[in-house]
Amino acid sequence: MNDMIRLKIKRNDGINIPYWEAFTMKRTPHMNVISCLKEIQKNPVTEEGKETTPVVWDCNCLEEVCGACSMLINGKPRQACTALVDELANPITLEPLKKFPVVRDLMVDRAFMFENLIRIKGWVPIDGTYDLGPGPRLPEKKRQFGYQLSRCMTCGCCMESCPNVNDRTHFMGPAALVQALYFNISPTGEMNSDERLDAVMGAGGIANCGNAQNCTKACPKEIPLTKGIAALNRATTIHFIKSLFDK
Amino acid sequence: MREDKSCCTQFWLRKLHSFTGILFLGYFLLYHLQGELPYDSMLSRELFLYIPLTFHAIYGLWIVFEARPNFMTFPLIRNGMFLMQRVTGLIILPFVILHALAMNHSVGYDSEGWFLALWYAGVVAAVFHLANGLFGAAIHWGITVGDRSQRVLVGVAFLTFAVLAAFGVNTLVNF
Repeated sequence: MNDMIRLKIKRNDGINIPYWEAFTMKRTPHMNVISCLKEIQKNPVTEEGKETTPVVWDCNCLEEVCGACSMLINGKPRQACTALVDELANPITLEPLKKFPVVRDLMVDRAFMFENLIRIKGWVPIDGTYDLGPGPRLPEKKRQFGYQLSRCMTCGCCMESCPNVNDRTHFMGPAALVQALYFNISPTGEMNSDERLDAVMGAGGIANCGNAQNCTKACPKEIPLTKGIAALNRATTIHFIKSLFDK
Repeated sequence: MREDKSCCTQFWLRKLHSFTGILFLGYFLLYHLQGELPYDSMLSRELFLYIPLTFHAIYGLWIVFEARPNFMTFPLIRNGMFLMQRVTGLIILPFVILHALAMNHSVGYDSEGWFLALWYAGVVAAVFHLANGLFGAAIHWGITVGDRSQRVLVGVAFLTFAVLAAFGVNTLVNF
């Protein structure tokens, strides 16, 4: 009985309204959701024997560092590459993330997240006419905290779990907020920290966080997102009060 | 350098929301749970109660509208509190209006049945909203950052809820 895997996949061809299709396949050792999808690609026939189009999905690194294969697996946002079939309840349901526009089937467009990284100026400007030399060293404690934050792969799980990331708020979400913190704690990034704090305090910024704290639980990289947002709350509060009197 | 001039509006409105909630409404509730009114003059009532209350209610409705709760998909404790904060807010608003009308004798006060049930629900909801609001405000203002300090605030919020709820219910029983 356990030799077969059943997958229920939400299909979206861009023309018809989304519909479900089910597929069955033989279980082989160490399968993950990606390898299941590849099996369907080899032979795109539903369990009723109807020929269909191969399921479209997005993936890249296959080791949970790129964030491209995020989808809802049995209702939970996570990466398909690290979703091992042996550890999943059967049948496995696959849906695209709901907070992003669907390109096709399980493939979504996470451009909103990358636009937000631009808004919070998620970089260190080093362009100039001469070599600026090496940056200053970080205290070890700060470096370790920064490393935790740096593991963000813009996968969208935090966005998916957040009740305030939606069409009403245009909230940039935990990922972009915490990246602002990441750049602000580094000694070189700190030079532009005011600009990032301004962006974080802007429309769709930190004010939209409602402290549901789902993001920390949903993050596959275990980034301390709520701690990061709280630290940013402190930084923006101080920045806001200061800027009132500096004007 | 700023992208839009109106950038901080939501930011300081949110801050004002938690500020009015804790300082003015929290203070008033502490007093009022004992069945007393803290303000004697009309002016102080306007300044310290009606204006903050109106702002808190209207902006609160906006916050409720903005959220799309997902407790069924993500049944986590804090997510439940997030939902409850909004639900209690929606209970308190009609309760406060009805309560004020009843005290003005614009609406007849009926000390039985659903009317009394609503009274109890309103008091408990208000106390919950304040207690959980303490936790939220501590994060919003950047006071509690680390996990441990947030856990301490959970304890503080729970104690606040238990003590104030007991107080409020006791007042109602003896009303």
